Amino acid sequence: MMAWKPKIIAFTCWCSNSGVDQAGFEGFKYPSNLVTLRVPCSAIVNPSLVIKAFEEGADAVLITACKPFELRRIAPSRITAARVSLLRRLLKTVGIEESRVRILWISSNEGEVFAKEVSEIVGEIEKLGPLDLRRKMLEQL
Amino acid sequence: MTLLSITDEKLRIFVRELFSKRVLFAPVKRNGYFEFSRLSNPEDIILNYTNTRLSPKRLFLPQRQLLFKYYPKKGVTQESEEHSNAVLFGVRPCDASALSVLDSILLKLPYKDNFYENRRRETIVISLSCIKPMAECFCNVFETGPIRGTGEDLTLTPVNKVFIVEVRTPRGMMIVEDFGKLFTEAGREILEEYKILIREAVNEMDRRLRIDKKKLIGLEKEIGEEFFQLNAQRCIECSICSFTCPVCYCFETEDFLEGDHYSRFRGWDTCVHPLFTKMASGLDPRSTKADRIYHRFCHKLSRIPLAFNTYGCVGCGRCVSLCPTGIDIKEVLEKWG
Amino acid sequence: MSSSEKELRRLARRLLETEVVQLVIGYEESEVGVRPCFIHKPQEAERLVWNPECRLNLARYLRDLKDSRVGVVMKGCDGRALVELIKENQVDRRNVFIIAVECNGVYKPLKYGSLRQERQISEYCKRCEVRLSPIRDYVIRSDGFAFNNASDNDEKPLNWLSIFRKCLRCMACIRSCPFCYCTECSIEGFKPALVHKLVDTMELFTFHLTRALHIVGRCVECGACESSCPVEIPLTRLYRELNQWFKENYNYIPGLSLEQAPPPLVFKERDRT
Repeated sequence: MMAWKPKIIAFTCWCSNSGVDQAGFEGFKYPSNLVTLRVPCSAIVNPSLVIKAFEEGADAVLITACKPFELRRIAPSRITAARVSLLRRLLKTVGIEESRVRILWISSNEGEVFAKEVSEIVGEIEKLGPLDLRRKMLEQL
Repeated sequence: MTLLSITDEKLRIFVRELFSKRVLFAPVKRNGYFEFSRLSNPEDIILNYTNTRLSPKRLFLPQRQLLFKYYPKKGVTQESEEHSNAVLFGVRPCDASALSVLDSILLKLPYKDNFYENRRRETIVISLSCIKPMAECFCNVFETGPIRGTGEDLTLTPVNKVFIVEVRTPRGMMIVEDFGKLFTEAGREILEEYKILIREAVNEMDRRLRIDKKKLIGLEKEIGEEFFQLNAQRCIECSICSFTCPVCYCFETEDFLEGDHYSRFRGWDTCVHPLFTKMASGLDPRSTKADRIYHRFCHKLSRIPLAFNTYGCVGCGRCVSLCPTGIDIKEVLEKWG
Repeated sequence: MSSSEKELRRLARRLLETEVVQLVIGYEESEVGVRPCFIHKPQEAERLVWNPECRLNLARYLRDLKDSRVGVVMKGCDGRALVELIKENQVDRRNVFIIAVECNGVYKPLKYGSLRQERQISEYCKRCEVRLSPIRDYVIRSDGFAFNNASDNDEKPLNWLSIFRKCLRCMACIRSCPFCYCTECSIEGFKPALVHKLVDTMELFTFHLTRALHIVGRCVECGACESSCPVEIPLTRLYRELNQWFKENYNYIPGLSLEQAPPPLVFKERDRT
């Protein structure tokens, strides 16, 4: 049997996606079980999509966003932060570990930081174990 | 009509025997209400219950059911799922009658519903009479209770620690013969008591609501417009009434992409939903809430009887009790009947 | 008949006779229990009742009656919901005559085939602190029982995932909620199809969590969703948990005043998150 590897969905904003790209160009290694989805801005990530990702079998969701005071607008990063905080509270309420929703503040030139942080996050999720929402939802009362 | 009797302890043995031979669906306590469920332990069974919150319809017409899978190369594949040897134990006469209503609608040729038939064909229905009918019920109107319904194979009636067993169909007779030792001829005294109980229950129901159901048919033209307007103002367009109804059978199909194939599912739909009749062009034959509520009542009370010679309502009272805004089918019956 | 009921009927009659309002929305007694009623004529005002069975939130109906002058019977939580609706421009305050009735809590509904036989006060009412609507045109005091306050430690943690599983998705929670007025509901919509029309057990997770996210910071914990749910999902508890997050972060409790703007609609540099 293959060893279990966590499935992680990452919503990367336009700027931080260049950071992710940079990690690739410059050959910083980061775990391959991270699926990145580029979005125009981190604040466009509908919290429902994060929930949908969990429903579809993700073990953790990562949102990478621009650093609050590097962006020329303050609102987007703050909206993202608020949403993540709310999502964590919601997941904790329904009995899912809140550390499965992560936020990373990444600038477009921080490929190395990204690779390092992501490896750490994957390690943490591996320690948490699979979410197995399907089993939890379908198991007998 | 054959009347037999079985004692309480022997009924438990009967249930255990059925459990060991067949798939047994019976009422159990769950989440604060009673529910039909596949038994995993025959001791869980509850026989002094009022009625289940959700109707047993969901065992035969599940809320989501796979019809077929479609592979781009292989084509259509169908997996037939049957629980041919199921027993529905302890269902109330109104819900048992609802199954016979569904039979006459869904099994009517030439448009037979095979998925329903697979689940229904071999299922044995053993009902339990209502000696103390609930306040919401009006089964006497459609002659679906409180003692005997129309769809059951055996009818059990609790009389003074003994159950009177009435054999209703040849299939019911077969079960009784299989378990011959457990059943005995009913004594004269018990039969007397049984008759009194029946009369009391029927009288009790008749006191509440007594109308002539034949008058309901073809009443579309004489509607009280104002009555439906009033109820429509109240209605919030949830679908509790149709989802909990033991007879409502409208469904919708939807295709899902699942890996390398598509799957077509069908599931419950409801005519009170505003999108139910909305067409792609934007046309909606039942565009107002009043139209939809009127349609729902009319369909049950007048159009199903015209087309299928049976009534689309069995008087279980679920929609009456569970409706958050108190829309009451009994008021319609009083108005039309 | 209690004195508050008598006063309510007299007031409704006066309002209709003097044509201050065209319609009074209240509760009436019927064979199946207490239900909302719409009263157009002064002589019908005798149908109005007031008792702890008056559960449904009547603010829900006001969104559809934008053009008529309406008198409406409001509990504390209904009034709070109305405050939020006015702030969201769904209801015109000038068209509504609010008959605020002091509420002592409502009973849990005794539904079809339930195990429970005795009447109990609802969980959410035990935690309610607003007995009288914050905005009102007329106040009716009621002589009722006192509040029984629940403590936090009698709350068992719930296994939410298995509770969601019994949901039928009949949409009663959405349809009875005063705040679910979107013409294109994101749950019923197709772009993106978060939740499909056919009910899938896994999608119930998305359904309930999405709904919770959409009414956080607006939910006034009136319990309309919980009391109309046919399978008794304690939704108010989930929403209250999120409202606490809202209170901690933005110091905002929905529906208490018309002046305080909802935090998601305004920008403040000192907001914590």
